[in-house]
Amino acid sequence: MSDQAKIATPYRPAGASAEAIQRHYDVGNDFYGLWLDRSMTYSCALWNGDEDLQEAQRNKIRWHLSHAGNIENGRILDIGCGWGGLVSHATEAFGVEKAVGLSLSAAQVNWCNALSLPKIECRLENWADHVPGQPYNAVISIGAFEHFAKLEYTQEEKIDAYRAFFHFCHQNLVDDGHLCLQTITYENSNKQQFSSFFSDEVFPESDLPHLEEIVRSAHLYFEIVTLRADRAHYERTAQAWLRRLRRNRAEANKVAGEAVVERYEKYLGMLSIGFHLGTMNLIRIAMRRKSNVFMA
Amino acid sequence: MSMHHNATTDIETRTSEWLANYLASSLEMADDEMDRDLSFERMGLDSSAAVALVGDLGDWLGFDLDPTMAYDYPSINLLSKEVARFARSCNRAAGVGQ
Repeated sequence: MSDQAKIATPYRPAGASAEAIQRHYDVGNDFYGLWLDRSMTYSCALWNGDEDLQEAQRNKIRWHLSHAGNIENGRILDIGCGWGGLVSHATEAFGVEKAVGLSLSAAQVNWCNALSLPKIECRLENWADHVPGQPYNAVISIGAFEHFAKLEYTQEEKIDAYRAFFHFCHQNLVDDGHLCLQTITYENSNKQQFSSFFSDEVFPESDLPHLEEIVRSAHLYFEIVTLRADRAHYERTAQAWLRRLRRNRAEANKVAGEAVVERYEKYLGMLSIGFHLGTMNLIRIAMRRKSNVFMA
Repeated sequence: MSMHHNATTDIETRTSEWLANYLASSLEMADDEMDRDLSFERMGLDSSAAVALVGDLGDWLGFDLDPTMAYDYPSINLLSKEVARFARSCNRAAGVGQ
């Protein structure tokens, strides 16, 4: 099937199931609160110097919002909103009028909605099922793209799944809308070489993207404005999390159990090594919507 | 027992002993059969085992060690030297022994 034909008949993927996502993220807010920063941001920070984790997470959120085009008084969609750090900052500091967050984790959605923030709506919903009332000025997705392709997908199915995502964003953005993505990618590895611990325990049912797969599946709908490869930033973030978890180990054992704490210590250590060695990379991309998609 | 409060002068030797003992027991070998210049990779350590090794070493020392250390200093001798250097810098920062 040609690239062009996909526009008329977008593939509607499931990606990783809600159960798989919840298995990873629903250990409990109390547990994550022991080692994430106060904004509960569970994705790679952006380090400019010797700032602390909280500030580095704030830098990351600011990077995406400042690359999201014209969002003042506008509407944004955050796909994979986590505990709501980005949507909160968007409405507080960037003048966003309406910020909608999507998550597949009930614990995260309940947390966000319990804050009862005006201008913010968090929904327990897959992006493929989301029907916005009106288009968004920007879509931002941090740490969700990792879960969009299942391990068993063929190369073609994987590209189809990614293309369906970019098609969705294109359909639901205003003409000059922007899309900001942050995702882990395979760098010097592929799924065959990847540790089974990651595929079984960390990214269940999920296959990471290669950068060229993102570019290939997006190019019909978006032009790339800015791209950063920041694996050293994730190495440092994972080490900051690990130090905090180890310092709070006794408390973590109480709220999550020793087996979970041990699994996360191992996960954060391996994450740090993967980025250190370049097995994985961390990509931040800002894209601008193409108004005239070639449909011939 | 944490080594944090003990003299730091012999940290390199004691770390080397600890690592030889730890790896010998993981690999079911005798301590004195361990080649302390052999790379961890050649010993068959994967990333998961490297994380556990550095984590347990950090617990024993009472220091936070970066999990990547076993890759940057990939033998018993290299890692022991680096741990001793790191411990001295931590103790200097904490004013230990002054």
